[in-house]
Amino acid sequence: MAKANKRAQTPRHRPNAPRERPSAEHPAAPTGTRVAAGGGVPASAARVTTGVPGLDRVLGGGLPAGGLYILQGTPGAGKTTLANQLAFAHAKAPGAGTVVYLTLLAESHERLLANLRTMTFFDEHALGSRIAYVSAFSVLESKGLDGLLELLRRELRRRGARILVLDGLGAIEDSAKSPREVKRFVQAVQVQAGLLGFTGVLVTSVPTKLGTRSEHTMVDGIIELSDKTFGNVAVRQLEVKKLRGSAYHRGLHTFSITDDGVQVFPRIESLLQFPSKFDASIGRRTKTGIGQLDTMLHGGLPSGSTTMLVGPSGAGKTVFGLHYLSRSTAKEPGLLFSFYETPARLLDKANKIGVDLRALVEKGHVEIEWEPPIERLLDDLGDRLLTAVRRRRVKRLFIDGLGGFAASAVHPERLPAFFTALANELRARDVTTVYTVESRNIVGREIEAPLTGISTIVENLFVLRFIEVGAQLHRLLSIVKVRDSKYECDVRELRIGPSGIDIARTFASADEILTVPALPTTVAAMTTQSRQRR
Amino acid sequence: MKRILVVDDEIGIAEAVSDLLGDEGYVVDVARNGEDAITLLSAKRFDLVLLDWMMPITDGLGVMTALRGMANRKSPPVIVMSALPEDVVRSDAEIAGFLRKPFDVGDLLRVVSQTLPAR
Repeated sequence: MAKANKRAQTPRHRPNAPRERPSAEHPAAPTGTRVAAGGGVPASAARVTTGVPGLDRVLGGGLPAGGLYILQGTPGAGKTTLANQLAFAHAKAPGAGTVVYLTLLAESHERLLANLRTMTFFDEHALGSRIAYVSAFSVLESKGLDGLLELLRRELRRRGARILVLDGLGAIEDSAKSPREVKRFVQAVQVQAGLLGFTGVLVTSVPTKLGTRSEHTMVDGIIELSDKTFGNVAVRQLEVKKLRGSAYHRGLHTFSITDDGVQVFPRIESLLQFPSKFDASIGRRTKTGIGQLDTMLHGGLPSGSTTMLVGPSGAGKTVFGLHYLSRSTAKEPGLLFSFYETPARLLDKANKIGVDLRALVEKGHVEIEWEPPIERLLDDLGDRLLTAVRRRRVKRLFIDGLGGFAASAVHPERLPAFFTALANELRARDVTTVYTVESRNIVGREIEAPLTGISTIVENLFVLRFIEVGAQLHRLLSIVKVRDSKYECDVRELRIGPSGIDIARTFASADEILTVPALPTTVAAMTTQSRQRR
Repeated sequence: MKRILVVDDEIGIAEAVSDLLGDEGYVVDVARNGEDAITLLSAKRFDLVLLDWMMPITDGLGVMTALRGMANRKSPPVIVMSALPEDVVRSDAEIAGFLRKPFDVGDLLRVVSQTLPAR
């Protein structure tokens, strides 16, 4: 008989995984459409959760159970932290079986545990009974790979382990006479994983001393951690290079290591290739909180839409947003996602224009999330925003300073896709979003927005300008675009007083301002300098 | 002490199964292909054979045919290990037990103990 599909015969390989069913949160897409919960990654086999926030999502639900995986990375990249986090997460799960953490490192367990004790996932009570740290260095030295395999098999079987972490695959490569021996060892561990029913993680550094890693072709998955610098900023990145039997989110994802361990931030545009739901708000309107503007918009902003408010510093963008949030209620919760102004300053600013933001915050109708954009991770910010939206089912979102996201992007070319995915998801969640973008020029008739490539997400575009007439500065508002809606497109004068924004009822005052020849500040300054020289 | 022959051309599987059965107190021999299995079966008496079905040159069916041809002795019971469906294997040969790959240690020991109850 011909030798057919021999790979599928190995005991560890378990096909025919159940598929994830749509839920109320992620309803099934109508026939003929492509909308997949969580970005289009189908669920496959039974999974082992990694206990690492964000990583299971990258992996499409966790590590397929019964497989053997390589976790590799440069020294200091976070491999041992991640592997231990996985071990402790598994040990905490009720009825999950034990973990054997087999080390081939020169470092003692005392030192390893001393470092782990600073982590919040560390649990002293799990040691021994649920996580067994086994040093195999001396066995490898004295008995070679066969001795190591025997130790591994006996320990796993004796303890009924469901997880094996083998920390120090490099020591096996050092000990082996050829890549073939390493391959044979990995294959033997794979067979044991199938027979004994455990999932294995082999931890190792890169690059290998033996050149091409033969074991890479054999294992069920490879996760690589790296730590790179962009300018002066160091960024940790994770990439799943291979995962058999499962779709996963390819490419680089950033991660952080804190006292809570590793947290992975899947690339938003990969995670949300398709929004989790369909638009639910077509045809409805959301009041802006500025009466005259709602009149110009024939009732308000289209619900679930995205509005970009462009203007120079001081033009009234934040004040606009505070008006917008002032209409937040228990049914229409608001979120102020601020990058630059602190909550205290925002509360004070609102108070000065007669918006009792503090009361709205105290009632829980508005939440202020302040995220200073200093050495931040783009996807962390995106995740925080979406988490805050989901947690309170936010309907009114004001992002004060879209540039805060851009400032956190080490790969700016990602921004258009990032913003598109974010906007699609917010729209699907019936969130009406207003965000501000600061223009480069302070005063003048032309407006230059510093962010490029975001036009695709702009459904409504409002422009604020300063115009100089004589010794006076005037603010003008233009509604440039509103998605699929009628609106008054004439320019209006906008004033900010003790009651906040007041928009002129007609274009007459704006017309008067614009018909007077005005010089932008920069030109005026040059003219003044020129006169002084003369 | 019961003696078992494990036949599998995937040496990792053969050795792992052999080790596990050894832990249980069985005496285990390993054959890496059908030819070696026939040689061992001709030379020694076994209480049970664990036989991979899909092997090159001489497959499981070939081993069973050879085993039935050894008229001078009683054939040991055969448990087939295969990824093929059980009925496909059973339609070709009379076997004492079946282990569908992939299987775990629990499946292995249960089928072996059912087929070979008394040690």
